[in-house]
Amino acid sequence: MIFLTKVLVSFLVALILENLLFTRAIGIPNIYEKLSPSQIFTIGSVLTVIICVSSIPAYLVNNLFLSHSAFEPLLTLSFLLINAAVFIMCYFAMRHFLPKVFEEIQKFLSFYGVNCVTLAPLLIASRMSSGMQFSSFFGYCLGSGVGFTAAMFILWSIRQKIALIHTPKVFRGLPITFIYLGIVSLALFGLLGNQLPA
Amino acid sequence: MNLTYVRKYNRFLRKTEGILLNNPILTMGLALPLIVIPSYGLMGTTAVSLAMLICFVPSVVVSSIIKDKIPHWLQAVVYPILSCLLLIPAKFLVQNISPLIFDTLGIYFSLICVNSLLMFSVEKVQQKKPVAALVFAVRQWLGASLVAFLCGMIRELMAAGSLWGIPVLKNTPHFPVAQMAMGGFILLGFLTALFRLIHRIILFFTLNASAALDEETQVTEERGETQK
Repeated sequence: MIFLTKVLVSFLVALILENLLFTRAIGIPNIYEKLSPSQIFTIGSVLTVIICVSSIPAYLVNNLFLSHSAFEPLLTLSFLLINAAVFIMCYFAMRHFLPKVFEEIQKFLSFYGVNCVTLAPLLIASRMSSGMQFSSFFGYCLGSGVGFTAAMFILWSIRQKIALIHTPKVFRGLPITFIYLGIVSLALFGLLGNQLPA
Repeated sequence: MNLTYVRKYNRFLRKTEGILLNNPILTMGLALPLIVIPSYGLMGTTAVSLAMLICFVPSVVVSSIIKDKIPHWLQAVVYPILSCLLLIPAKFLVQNISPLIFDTLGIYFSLICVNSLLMFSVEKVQQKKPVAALVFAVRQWLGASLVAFLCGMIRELMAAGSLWGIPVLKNTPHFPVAQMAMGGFILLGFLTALFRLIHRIILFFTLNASAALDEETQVTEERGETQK
């Protein structure tokens, strides 16, 4: 029960309060390009699986490296190697077991496989607390993946709404998306509580 | 219609490919985490730009040498790892900027090796020769750094009223929200729109100037004919 509670708390923190896209500006290439909801769901699922599977060896490596400070500069490289290994496993697993889905996202997969979204949750979770338990580590990584997928869906819905309203020519496309991202980010910071200067 | 000025402007733009024309951040939103979060001040921006120069440019050049010799799926893994290895010497150079630089940059320093600009550039230089790839990478880096420095300067001025930690605006109200993610997003949105607006205004004036030139040549031709 305690394990599940810890997973849930870390999951919710990563999903809402520390959303990868809205509060940390961490995204994938071509995030602003038009993707269909099914493509978003597939890409989000693949990224979540890569992050979650990577979190298991990453937790072990993190604990090992924390106990031996000499290895600390190699933490990023080791996380990246774990990410890369998991990505390659996912790539071949999808090609063999889900050929239709693989064909749909084959073009993007190699581009999205190892990126900021897959590496950042591992680095954040490792920095959050030295005595972090596996439940919190895993919950945070799971929440980051799901949160990023949710953020991509929010971006998609924003694009649908913006297409229906009149926007000045110079603001169409990327500028209005950035401003909207800023406003959503502001809302999330409001939820966290921002201390204004006296 | 005489389009001399428009052609001149277009020629100038083509020379700045990657910097002013097709800027990777302003046109595609690449390397976003490095522009929105660490560029809250000039120190952070300088650190990120330096590290990017060391990690990003050599990785792109190597990718143009290797080309298609390794499968596509492996490319997604090899170049970030190469970039990550280059991050180790970059760390020694960057720590000279400020002793607390890594505390302020946090995970974003490590994320330089997996930024989206790297993967985009690697895809683009597959058909290019190493020298052309080097020029392309330097241009992309310059374009990204230009926007980052602009953002960093504006954000530091707005939030702390200083530049590189030196107070510039002393008796002006500060706007701390500019240093947060939302400030970065909104500023970047307005910067993108501003660059577009400037491009449109220049095009408008060059077209008008070309039209005026056209009229002038017509008048001189008519005068010449009447004199004959």
